[in-house]
Amino acid sequence: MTTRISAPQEPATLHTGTRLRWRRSDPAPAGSPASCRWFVDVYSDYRDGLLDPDSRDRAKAHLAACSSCRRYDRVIRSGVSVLRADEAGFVDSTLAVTTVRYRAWELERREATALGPAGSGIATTGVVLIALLLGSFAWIPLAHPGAPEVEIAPVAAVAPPVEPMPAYSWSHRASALLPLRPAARLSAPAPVLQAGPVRVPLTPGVAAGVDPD
Amino acid sequence: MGQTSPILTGQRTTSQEQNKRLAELDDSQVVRRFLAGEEKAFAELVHRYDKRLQNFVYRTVGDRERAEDLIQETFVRVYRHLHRFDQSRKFSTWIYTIAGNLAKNELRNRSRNPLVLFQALVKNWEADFRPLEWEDPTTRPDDLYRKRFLRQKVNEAVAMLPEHHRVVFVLRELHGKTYEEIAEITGCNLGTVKSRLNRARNKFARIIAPMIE
Repeated sequence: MTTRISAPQEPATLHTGTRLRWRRSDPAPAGSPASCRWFVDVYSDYRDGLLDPDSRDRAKAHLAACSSCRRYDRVIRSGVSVLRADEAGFVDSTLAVTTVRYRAWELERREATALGPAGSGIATTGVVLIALLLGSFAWIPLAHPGAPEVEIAPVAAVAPPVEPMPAYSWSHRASALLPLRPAARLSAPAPVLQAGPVRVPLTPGVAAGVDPD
Repeated sequence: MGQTSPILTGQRTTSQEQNKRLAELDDSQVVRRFLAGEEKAFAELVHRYDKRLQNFVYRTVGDRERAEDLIQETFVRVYRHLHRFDQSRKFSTWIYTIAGNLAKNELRNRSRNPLVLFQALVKNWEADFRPLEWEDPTTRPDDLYRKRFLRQKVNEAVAMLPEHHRVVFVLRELHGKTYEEIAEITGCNLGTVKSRLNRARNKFARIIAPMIE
């Protein structure tokens, strides 16, 4: 058993917002073949002439009988006609064909060049990276484990004698900045560096300047 | 003095005749001429679609200058890739698809850029404070104001539609595309196009209804 559900015969509500509630202003006329909701649902097809003849007749009959749906139709038609009238003077510029051709040519030229501006950047970065790698490799002593070592003789250095200086003097402006120290401590020369035999790995860079004999 | 060389006149006449002949051909024939090496055929295609596409793209992106850039880009693509165009299809659908995709990308990129909001605000401010233009001295100022106001509101109503509704609405109402063509341009199926168009019309009517008696 099938149940046929008829279209709701209630006033069409096209808008539920706050600005406008578009409702049917008059009750459905007696004998009206279609509801406003049905009309609004099929309106697009009706306007574009896509309804079958029966439905088209129903829509026409409804439009003739219902002032609200007539207004709906009128609003859309008027709005679209305003848009179309405005469309004529909408664009005032004309595209230059030569510009299009030039841009197309420019793009093709760029593509034809294997390494364009972007490609040259990549190549430069690659060269720099390779140079950095080679350079760092050459300067790492660990990279040459089998290199011969040379022995450097011990070195002892003594600081030169220093004249005792006054603890405090106003005569020289720079001396005012020096900290106060006892003069006796400055007078005694002290060794500042003393190194024993050192074994230095002989890298190619060192070997070039040092004769082991 | 002042007389044009007969050689030049002859060339101009030939050129004009060539333009006239191209203007009489349909799109597919013009495309074939271009692919056969006739450069003027491309100018004819630009002439045919420049303004139409600018209106379409402007309605979609809402920015005149950007729309012009996108149309230039569209024609560059057409120029470069016309040999790939399947000539069994309509050229207008193809070119609208390219322009529509570019406009869609533009909107997608724009949604990530906060500067656009500021530009839109400035643009609206300028429109609000623009003085009335006295095009016709016989028109009453209130009529003039009402017309301008209506035009502005109708344009705003289109701009207020969601992007996917707006594209369908503009293609149907202002460019007269069939449902099938719109489906191809937007990449949607027919049912989606129908429902979007119906909703767009409904929303459009709701927005402009208070301004139209």
